[in-house]
Amino acid sequence: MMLMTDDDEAAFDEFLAARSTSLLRTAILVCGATRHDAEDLVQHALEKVYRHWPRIRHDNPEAYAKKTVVNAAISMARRRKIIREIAFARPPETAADSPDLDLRDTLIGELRRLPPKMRAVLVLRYWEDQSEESTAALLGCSLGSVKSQAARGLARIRANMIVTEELVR
Amino acid sequence: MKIEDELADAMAAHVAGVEAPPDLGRAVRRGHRAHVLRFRVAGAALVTAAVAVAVPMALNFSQPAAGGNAATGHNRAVMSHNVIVPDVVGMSGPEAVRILREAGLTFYGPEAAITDHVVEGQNPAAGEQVPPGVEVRLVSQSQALGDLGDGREFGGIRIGYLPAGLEWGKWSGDDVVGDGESYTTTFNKPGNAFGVYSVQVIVAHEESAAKLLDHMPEKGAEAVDVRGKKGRLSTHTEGGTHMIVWELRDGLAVKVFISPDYAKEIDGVAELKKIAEGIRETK
Repeated sequence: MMLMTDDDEAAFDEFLAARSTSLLRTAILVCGATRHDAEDLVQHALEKVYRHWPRIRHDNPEAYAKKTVVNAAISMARRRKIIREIAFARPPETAADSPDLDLRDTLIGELRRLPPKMRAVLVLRYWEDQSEESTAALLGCSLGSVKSQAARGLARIRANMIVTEELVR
Repeated sequence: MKIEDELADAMAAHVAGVEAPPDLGRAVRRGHRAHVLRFRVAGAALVTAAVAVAVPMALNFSQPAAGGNAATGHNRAVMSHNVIVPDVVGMSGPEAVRILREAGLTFYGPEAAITDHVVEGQNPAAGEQVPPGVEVRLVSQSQALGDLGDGREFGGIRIGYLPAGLEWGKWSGDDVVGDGESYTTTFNKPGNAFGVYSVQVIVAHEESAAKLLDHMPEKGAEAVDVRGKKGRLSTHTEGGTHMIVWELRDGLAVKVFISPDYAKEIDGVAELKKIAEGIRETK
């Protein structure tokens, strides 16, 4: 247990004020769970950050926190996969069963259907605008893996969207 | 518009209304098992210090003024406002705060955060004299369930078997998982570093039981039988923690962990099964 100075505590509060909303949003997008579960997840990740705070605060704490949150979100999404697949099992061509379904909702729906890691790559690359290199570092995988997952993820979404549009017509 | 831009817009819209809860910092600190409390010597009115300086002053004044007029200055030098740090290890959080306050030390931090805590360590140590302004730090840990004695009975269960040589970790928490009732405590090897557990047990009731079961390990979990109930056992969780989870009955789930280090010292899987087999509901 590292001892926290007043200065450490104050810096941690500043860090939370600046970053916790963005971490929570990332968690929601990556794990595809409810907001309540995402909050739990972020809180646990931040407890980990807090535990190591005196050591990491001067060494890119945001990257450490983000890495912890994203990987926990992937784990949670994997645990939930079985339940979700039972609940939402249906062939892709019926993805949009209502023509009124908003495009954005459809996209989010398609995003949720991707494997957790692929989804994480898309969230980090296109929502957070992280470079391929930093996405690879955050996910602990190779640059090549980020490139291929991003390309395949977009291709899947695009393919399903085209199918959806044809059905809507 | 390219698909990635449309996707980025959709993601932004999806989470636009989400804000982190304002009490997140408090929740993080509360969830963190150990707390460090800090006291600082107050500027004036130090009862202990006053007693300490009374003797040298009296001695100096009782001597003839042979040393000349330097005596006053010398007296001032002797009049250190040092405080003797009281021994508060083992005390409850509120009791330690009271004792330290009486010694003239000032507490920094949310007192509410340590109401159910027990002090595990202090620095500087008891008996040391500290000059004004020096921080005394206390390390405390949660004992939400109070003094559990040998720790084997809590949250509606009794632990019949534990590996030899373990003692209650003098730590406990509640509300650890989900929205229902849940409790946890740990058992340690004597001499373990602070915060290092050997065995941890979580008990969860009703909604929390469902949540505890939902957080089953994903990788390498094997189905096991715990006295006729289906459970899952995993040795492949983060860092090599061994864990087993099962339902004692509907609405009452238990999870037992063996820390990675301790699992290497014993037959982790066999001991985990034996601990699970020995757990009974008490209510």
